[in-house]
Amino acid sequence: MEESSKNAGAGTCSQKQPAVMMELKNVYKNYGRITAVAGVSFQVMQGEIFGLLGPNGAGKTTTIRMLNTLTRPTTGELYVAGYQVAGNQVEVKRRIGVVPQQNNLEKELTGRENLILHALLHKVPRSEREKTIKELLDYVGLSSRADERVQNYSGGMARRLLIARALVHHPPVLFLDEPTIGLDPQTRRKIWDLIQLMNRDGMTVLLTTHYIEEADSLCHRVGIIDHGRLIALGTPAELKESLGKYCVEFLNKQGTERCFFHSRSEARDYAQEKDCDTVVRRTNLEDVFVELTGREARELAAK
Amino acid sequence: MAERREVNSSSPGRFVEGMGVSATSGGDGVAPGPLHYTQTGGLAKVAFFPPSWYPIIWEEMIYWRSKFWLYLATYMLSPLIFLLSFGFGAGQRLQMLMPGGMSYLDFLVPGVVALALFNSGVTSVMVRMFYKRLHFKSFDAYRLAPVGELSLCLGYALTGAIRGLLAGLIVLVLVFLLMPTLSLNCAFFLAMLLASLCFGALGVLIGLWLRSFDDQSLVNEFILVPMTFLSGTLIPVERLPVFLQHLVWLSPLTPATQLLRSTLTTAWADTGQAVLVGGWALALFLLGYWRLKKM
Ligand SMILES: Nc1ncnc2c1ncn2[C@@H]1O[C@H](COP(=O)(O)OP(=O)(O)O)[C@@H](O)[C@H]1O
Ligand SMILES: [Mg+2]
Repeated sequence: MEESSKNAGAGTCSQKQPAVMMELKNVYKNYGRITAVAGVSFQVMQGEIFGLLGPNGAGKTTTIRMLNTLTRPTTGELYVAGYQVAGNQVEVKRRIGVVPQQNNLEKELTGRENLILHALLHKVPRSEREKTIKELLDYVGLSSRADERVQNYSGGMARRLLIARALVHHPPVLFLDEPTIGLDPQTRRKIWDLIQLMNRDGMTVLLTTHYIEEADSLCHRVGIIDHGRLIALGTPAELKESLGKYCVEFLNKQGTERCFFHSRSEARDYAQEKDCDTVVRRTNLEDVFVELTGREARELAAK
Repeated sequence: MAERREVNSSSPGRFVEGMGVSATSGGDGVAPGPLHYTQTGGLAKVAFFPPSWYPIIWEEMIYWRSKFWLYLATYMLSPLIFLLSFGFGAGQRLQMLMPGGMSYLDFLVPGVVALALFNSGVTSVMVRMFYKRLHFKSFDAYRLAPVGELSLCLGYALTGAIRGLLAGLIVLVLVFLLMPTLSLNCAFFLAMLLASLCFGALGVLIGLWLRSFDDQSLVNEFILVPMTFLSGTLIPVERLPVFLQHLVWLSPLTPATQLLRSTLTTAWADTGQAVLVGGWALALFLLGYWRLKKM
């Protein structure tokens, strides 16, 4: 992150460096006495799939809602697609697609009607409307059920329709808030495929999740957020390396303990010294998450 | 794993081309702040037709298509009860309430029309916005559309106005069946239009204000029901207790009813009442707009 902001500051018109598509600068959001977001800063580059990973109540939804104009930050600046969000809401809204955490389709309308309504709201030209909607329904595999009321849709179908709806106006930036929450494994895979397809078409994606494997396998970069603060940021590989690529796991009286090492030999040596059962394995993102959130909890407790 | 993680390195221009967009990308003087930003274009064309509030009406019409007969039946019921019970039932006795020798039935008809405009207009938008905001959460989808708050307010106010007008027209048809001698005029229809817009705006304001089901019953009990009975619709304002006679002018339904009544009997609008209703409409609309803007 350090590096990219330095680059960007120095950069002028060079095509090589990816452009910043989203940025938060020291953003805070308070709800009365609750601080939902406490000083978050990060950037998302064009063409990236960026994941915000964090437990429930960490402030992920609030962060997304501030970026997509629905919630105003208490302090701090946000930029999306080159516009400062404050004061350019309409310009920002034109350029973003939003898949919310909670299904907010019109239940009384059919799937197709929901998409038409969205196209009308976004002023998609009449000539393109029908074709785009037909393509999107195919894309998310809902063509055969398009003329049924959304009321009758399963959770997975509704989520796919939400994704299709977010794409009707061809936004260059897509927000997905917990896109696979509560879905069965097959549907979840399908949604992952969709997200990757969209990203391959050049879309910048910001998604939130509390599923670690989702962040690990889908996202180019991950920001770990807890208690409203960004506690780590990097590619999944970088995050794992920051702890040590290898993990020795063993059970003692305090519970499962994990030690991290940068080389396999160090890890093996350490494991051999232990006189209990040990497992040597590669560090995964869950280890990073647990370590960091645990460390943060200890620091908070110490204060 | 590692290969998948490569950041997609499409050139900034590529997306823009694919989307048929005119605005461009890439640091050529469009950088707010110190960084290298991309200002990516949305849809280049900004059409003036259809207007931004049209989708809200479009959606409303979908509901009409599937529920028209239900609306018709619902909007017929309470006016019919008012007309039959107050007008033809107690009408003769209520004659003595009338100041200045007007026939009670002539008094009642514009009152029932006003009530129809009011009840269906306010309630339909209020309930729709309430459910969209707090139950289905679909109101967020409208707030995420690149449509100004003014257009959103106008769209919803118009749906309320249209529902009100439907209910008002149903009452007129009923009245014609019961008393075919009634004569209507242009000014009366214009008054109906103005009043329905005013009530649509009131519905939007309440719909945006409500926080829970409890709020909704509070609004019903403390605002809508008293307004229904006290605004000179069924009983002349002059026959209310004196302190109420002044209080009822806090309700936009009072001048609206009087406007409808004066246009129906004289075929001409009382300018003072028309201005009052128009003023209410504007004030309620702006309050709703302000509320939405602050959300
Ligand atoms: N509208 C709101 N009013 C009050 N508190 C809120 C509101 N929205 C979120 N919060 C609080 O902010 C914190 C972060 O919530 P949220 O952003 O939804 O977390 P996440 O999406 O990561 O689960 C939580 O403690 C939540 O209770
Ligand atoms: Mg959330």
